[in-house]
This record gives sequence, structure tokens and C-alpha cells, in this order.
Amino acid sequence: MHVLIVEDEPIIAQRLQRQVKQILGDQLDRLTWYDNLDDAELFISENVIDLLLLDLNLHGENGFELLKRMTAESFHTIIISAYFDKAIHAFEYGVLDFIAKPFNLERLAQAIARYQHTNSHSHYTARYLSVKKSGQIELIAIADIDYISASGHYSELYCGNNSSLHDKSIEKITNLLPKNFERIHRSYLVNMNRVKRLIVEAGSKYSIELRNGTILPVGRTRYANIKQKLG
Amino acid sequence: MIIRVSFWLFIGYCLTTTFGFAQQIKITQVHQIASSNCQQVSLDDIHTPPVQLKAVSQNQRGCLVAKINLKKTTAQLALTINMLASRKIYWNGELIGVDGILGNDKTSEIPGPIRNIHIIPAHLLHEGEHQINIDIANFHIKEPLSNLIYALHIQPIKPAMNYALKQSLLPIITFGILIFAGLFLQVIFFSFEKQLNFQVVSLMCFSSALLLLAEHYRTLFGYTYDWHVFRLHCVLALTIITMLSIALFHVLNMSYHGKFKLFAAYILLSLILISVLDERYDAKSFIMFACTLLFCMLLHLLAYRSNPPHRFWGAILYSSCFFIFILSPTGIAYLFIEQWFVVLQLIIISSIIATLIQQMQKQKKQALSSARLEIDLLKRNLHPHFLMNSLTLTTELIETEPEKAVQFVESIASELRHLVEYSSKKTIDIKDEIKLCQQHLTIMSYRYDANYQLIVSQGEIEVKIPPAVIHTQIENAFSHNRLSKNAQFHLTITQESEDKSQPNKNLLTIITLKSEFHHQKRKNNKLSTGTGEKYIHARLQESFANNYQYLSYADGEYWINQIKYWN
Repeated sequence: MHVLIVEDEPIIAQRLQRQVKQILGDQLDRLTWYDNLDDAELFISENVIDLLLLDLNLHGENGFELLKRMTAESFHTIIISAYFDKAIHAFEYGVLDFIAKPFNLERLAQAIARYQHTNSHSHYTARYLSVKKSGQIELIAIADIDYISASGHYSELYCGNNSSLHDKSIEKITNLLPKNFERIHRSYLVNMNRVKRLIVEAGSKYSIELRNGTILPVGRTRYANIKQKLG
Repeated sequence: MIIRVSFWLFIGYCLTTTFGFAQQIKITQVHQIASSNCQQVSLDDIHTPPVQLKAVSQNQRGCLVAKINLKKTTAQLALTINMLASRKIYWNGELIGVDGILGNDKTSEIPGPIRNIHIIPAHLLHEGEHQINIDIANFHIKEPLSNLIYALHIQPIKPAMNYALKQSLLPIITFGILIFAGLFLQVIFFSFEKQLNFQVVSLMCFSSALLLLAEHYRTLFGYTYDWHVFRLHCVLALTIITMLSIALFHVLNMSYHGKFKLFAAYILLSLILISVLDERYDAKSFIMFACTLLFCMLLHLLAYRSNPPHRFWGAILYSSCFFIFILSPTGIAYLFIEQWFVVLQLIIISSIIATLIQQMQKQKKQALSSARLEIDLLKRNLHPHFLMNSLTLTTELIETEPEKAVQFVESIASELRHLVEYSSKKTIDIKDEIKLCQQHLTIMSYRYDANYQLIVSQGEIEVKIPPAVIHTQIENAFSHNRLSKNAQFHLTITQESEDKSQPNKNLLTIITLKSEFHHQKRKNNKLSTGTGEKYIHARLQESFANNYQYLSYADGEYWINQIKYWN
């Protein structure tokens, strides 16, 4: 696992490095620290990372512009900031967690645990997922998404007739979404509010029909859970 | 503004009153003879020449005889008489009026009203010469006075009757306004702000209201003439109090607070001195008023010299009041006591109340902005970016280097203590400001694991500056820059005089802070741009008004913050 820390105060960066090492132990393959965003962004464009711990002044538009760019990436972002009052706003953009300064080991461990548990849902409601579209960052409202399909290391977000490619894997996206998104198949994540009915066919073949007519397969092992959820 | 309006109103009033006399026949000369049978005295029997009215003597039983010529008239006429004596009035030998009971000594005489109007019967009003005999007794005047007869004239009944109302309307209105203003100021004093100013102006309102009442009591209500001296004493005392309070208000207004008691003593002494110098009561009031106007004019002119635009209309108002007052001929000066006095008083008082209101507004504004600046400064240290990062740093140091944590907490506490102490002050010594900056650099050195230095080339100059102004410049350098680990700040303070012969006048002080500057590609840290600059401007404005200049600019590798001010 490769963790990147962006924090401009050396002693606070030292604290983050020390605690991340302690929490992840052997799971940590590489830990990188930058004290400024310019260098960090250059590094991100040339390297693959799994988790970004970002110190961000979220005052003004610049902070949120950066946040949109970062959350569109394949890795998860945890914000570490002095501005706790901006936390809720930051969550709307799909950050994995928001840690207010000053912080302790337990709080950081809790945030990293959320990264590791692929099936956990966000405690907070993200309202948007940011996606890169021809070099631009676009925000997609989560409430508009019908379903998400896995596409290699990426995932495809379907809203009505449109689809967009997100850099995060379907597992990572699950972490950010609210509880009404259910994994019905290895490759499909569905907004349960859009389900019309559950279809049972011969030979224990199950599928779901969405309100817009789309039919998606349901994994055999997941059927009982889905049936229960749909009541 | 109000001072300006009242100035023009004053000029207007002076012009209209000067040209508006009522038609009347004035008796200015009388024959004074000692006769117990005044009714029978004929002009033919008198061989002494007539005398001026003011030559009539007191403590006597006597007879005044005057001669007048009437033109043909159809109007009803009346004799207005205003003198210090009991009297019987005969018109061509016929009794037309009695005021009081005459006697040959103090015990047998019962004083009559000082002022009365006697209607002259129609059958006596033929065209030609008439003779008026007035049998008088005046044993009840309590001290020697220079003038006993104030009015002796014949005019149509209507204006004679209306005279009292016409003369008293403005004073009555003014009286009401003044009493109200005085009470209002008392309410303000006791429920809002305990300022000496309010008491002084309130005193002025009450005393000048009572002065007006005393001045016009004769025309308004009348009294028996034996009370006249008492009234004159009241007028004198009230004039002294009014003039004292007018002068003292200006003393306070020109910020001579420290010498208030001294001024009060001197002014009171001078007024009392004036009041005993001249025997004539009218002259006493006149000189006191003139001296007060002169004093206020001089105060305003002095203030005008040091702060021109502010005191312009005040200086004009008092100068013109003074010169109009002084240069007007004596006749007008006496008329003045009757008529203009109230107007001039009203104008001065309204200008004083206007000044007071302006002052209150200014103080309120200043207090507000001072309070805001104080909060501004303290709030910056509760700013989450500073506070939370410092706390995070502290937790890390507690876990790894507890001794350093203690030092760090101590330096934060020390800076905060000083900021709290300085924030309420208008200016502090440059030494204290430098110490504050060094404390801040110590904290920043901990935070960025660096060694920031402030290098001061100051010499022996002792300067006062608003608190945390350079401190704010250093803070800005951190929030807009990524400084190197050994960044140095250079502070230069110079002071020079524009006029070498007067080394302490027109001093120009220049305080320059030179800091490392790296042009930021990213404008990410824009969060506090402007708030620091605003603080610096507000503080400099508060202390130096418009006599300062503040520059902030990049000069190659350096960022320059420069404060220039003159005093």
C-alpha cells in the first residue's frame, strides 16, 4: 500500500508518518511526504498511490477545486484540516474521511480502517462523484445514478442514458456511497431506489429490472440478501 | 452644518429687527420739580431747563412735567410707562392713571407696578400741545441705580397691548426648548454616558433659560418696582453662570481637559471681576457677553490654525458674533439686550448642542472601530489555521519531545498574553512590537522546524506605532509565501525632520520590513489576503489620521512593507 502525505508543517507531517507506519505496519509498502501541492500533484501524475492524506485549507474556492480533482482520481482521499466546520461540505465531494486537527492515533486508525473494509458504506452522505471528462472535472449527483458497473480497474456510472468512467474501482466507490447502493453482482452496484422488480428465471437464474427497463444479473450468493432488502 | 445654518439665520434676524420700529412718540426729556401739588403745576411756572430721563433721582417725592405735540389722529392712544416709582399721571391736569400709593417717605409709600399702560381718554386727544404731569414717589429702590425710567411713550393702544406678547414670544419658545434640552442632557448623562460635557451644556441650558425668564419677567408678568433690584441681581448671577458654561464647553471641546479646573477658576474670576467693575447692570451683562464671545473666538481661531477645515465655521460664527456685537452702536446694544440677546443665545446654544451631538457620534464611531480592531487582532490567534495546527504540533511534541512541547506552549502563551495586553492600546513602543515579532518568529520556527530571524537596524530611535502592525506584516509573509529554513526579516527604522532647525516638528518616520519573497505559482493560500492589510490601514488611520502612507510591494527577491508617517 502506498500512502502519500501532503502537509506543510514538518512536525505535523512527522506525526502523520509515525502514526501511519504504526497503524499499517507490514501492509505499508511506501510512504511519501510533500510539504506543498505542486510537488505532490507532479508526483501523483507519475506514480500510483492508494491513499492520500491531505492537509487542506478549505476556505475559498481553491480548496474545493483541488478536492474535486483529487476525488476523481483512483485513490481515496482523507482530509486532515484545521477547519472542522467545512467537514460536511468536503464529504459532499466524496472524500473517504475528514479528520479535524488536532488528531490522535485512534482517529487516524479509524479512517484507515474505512479504507481497508471494502464493503463499508460512508457514515456521511457524499452528494457528488467527480469524474474526469476530456480533461475537465465534472460532478455527478449520486442521487441521479441508476447503477454502476465494474470496468477493469475503473467503474462506469450510469445515469439514465449517460454513462461516465470513474478512475476508482467499484470497491472503492462503494466506500463513498450511501446505504441504498447495493452490490448485486461481482460487477454491479445498484441504486435500490431505482429497482422495479426482482426476476426469478428457471435454473436459479436471478436478475433485477430497473425502472428504466435495464435488466442486470444478480449473483447467486447475493440473491437472499437482495430479496430481503426489497421486502 | 447646523453651525453654518445658524450663522446665516443670525445675520437675517439682525437685518429684519433693525428696520422694524413701531410708530410711537417718545418722551425723552422732563422737567423735574419738587412740588407736593403736581396736578396744578403748569409749564409756565417752571424756569429750570428740562433734563434727560436718566437724571431723575431716587428716594424722592417729586413731580415730572413733560410737553408733547400731537398731530391730528383718530386712533385710540395709550401711555406706556415703565419706571421705578409709584405714580399718579395727569393729562392736561386730568388724572388718567394711578400706580401704587404715593407717600412722602418709605413707610407711607406703597410701591406700584413697574410697568403699566394707561389709556388716554378720547376727549383729551385734540391736535396740538399737551402737558403730562407725573406725581412720583420712589423710596423703595434698594440700591442707587443710574437709570430709573425705562419707557415713557405714547402709541396706539393695539401695539402697546401687543408689545408684551411680541417681545416675549421668542424668549418663551426658547425657554421651553432650553429647559427640554437641559433635561434631555441630564437623562443622557445619568443613563448613558457620564461625561462632563453633558453637565456643562445642561447647566448652560438651564441657566440661560432662567436668564431669559429673568430678562423678560417685567414685560411678561410685571412686578412692583421694589423687586427690580432683586431681579437685576438674578440676571447678573445667571449671566455669569451662562457665560461660564459657554466658555467651559469650548474649553472642553478644544480638548483642554487637563486644565479644566484652572480654566474654570480663571473664567469665573474674570466674570466676577467684570461684574463689579461697572455700576450699570446692562453694561455688566454687555461686557461679560462680549468677553465670552471674544474668548470663544480666540479659542476657535487657535483651533482653526492647527486644524483648519474642522473649525472653520465655528471660528466664523464666533468672530462675526463678536464683531457685530462690539461694533453695533450703543443704542442698538441696548436694543440688543431686549431683542437680539435671545437670538444670539439661541444660535450659540444650538451650535453648541450640534457640536455635542457631532462629538457623540464621532466618539461612538471611534469606540466601535477601536473595539473592532481589538477583536480583529485577538481573533487572528483563535483562527483555526493557527490554533489547530499549533495544538496538533503540541500533541506531537508531547508524545515525542515533551520538553520541547513545554517550551512551545510557553512561547504561544507569551505571545497571546502580549497580544491581549497590546490589543486595547492605540500605540505601543517599537521595542514591544519588535519583541512581539520575535516571539511570533520563535513560534513559526517551531512550526516549520526552521530558524527565522528578525534583524533590526534601529539605533537609538524611540518610536510609537499601533500594536501588531509589523507583526501582521510578518504573518502575511508566512501565509503568502513558502519561506526558506533560514529566512531573515530586516526591520529598518529611520526618522528625519523636514525642518532641521526644529528637530521635533514635522518628523517623518519610516519603518521598513524587508522579507524573503518567492513568487507563488499557486494562489492556493488566498484565504487571508486583505484582512491583514485592512487591519494595518485601520490601525494607522486610527493613530495618524491621514498623515501616513503604507506601501507593500515586491522588489526582486524581497517583499517590502513600508510605513511612513508624519507628526
